[in-house]
Amino acid sequence: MTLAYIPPASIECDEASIKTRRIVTRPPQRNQNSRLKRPLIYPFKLDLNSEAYVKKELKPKEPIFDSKSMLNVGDGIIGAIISGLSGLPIRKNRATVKKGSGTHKASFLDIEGFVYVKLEKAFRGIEAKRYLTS
Amino acid sequence: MKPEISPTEINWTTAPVPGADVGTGTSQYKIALLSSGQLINAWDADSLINKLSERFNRIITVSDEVISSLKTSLDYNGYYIAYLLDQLSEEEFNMIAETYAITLETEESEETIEKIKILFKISRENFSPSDISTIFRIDEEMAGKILANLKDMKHIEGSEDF
Repeated sequence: MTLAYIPPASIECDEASIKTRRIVTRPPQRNQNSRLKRPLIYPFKLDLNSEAYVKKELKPKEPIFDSKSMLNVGDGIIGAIISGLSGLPIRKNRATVKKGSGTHKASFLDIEGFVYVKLEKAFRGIEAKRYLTS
Repeated sequence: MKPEISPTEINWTTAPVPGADVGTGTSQYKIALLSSGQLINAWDADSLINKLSERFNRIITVSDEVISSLKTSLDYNGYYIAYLLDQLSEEEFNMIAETYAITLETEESEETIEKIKILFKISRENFSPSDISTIFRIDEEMAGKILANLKDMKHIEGSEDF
């Protein structure tokens, strides 16, 4: 089980568990990746500090969008902004809103039908530390 | 080296100005930029107007594309919310989603880079690679690479080529 806090990092799976405070959905795109058997892919962005973990592994367990994607159950990415896509639109009645941190509630939900998500922006503190040490 | 001038000292004129002849332009008028009566720069009126008009049209084209993309996103999200609120069945939503599906450009082009530069010049917003990908309908990886190259905002600020 590997957790990544710094980009570039991504996960690919059949089903992902998500924790986020805001989901921004975008119009679907025509799938141009022949290894994914879906006509449309549904991009989304998870904002305001989010986490995504592999819940169900890909079958066969091979990355489709990024050869460096993490694929094992429990692997996850954590950061300020996560963006990605799913093979199916995020379904209704999936999100549970509950305490997500010491100060905020968050939505917890599972996304299925193939999920590829990558860390777009690390937490501000981590970004600042990286900037100062680089 | 150009002299330091303040905006109040700048005086635009279309009257004949000594030394304002530029090149071999055929335009009847010259446009001169003066500071305290001293000639700073002069242009052939027609070529200057053409140049400004071309820049203006490029800004309009990019603005139109950005507004159109954002409107499409808004409309799609309206249907998506309707689906989440049980106002649309899954089948109905899938049919609507099909009509909104876009095909992403995967080849990087100078034109795309130009458009992104213009967007950064006309807007004060921070755009992430996924925003740029949605707005200009380009591959997100490619958008990330272009943004990384343009990260030095001085490069954009200083660009005279748009």
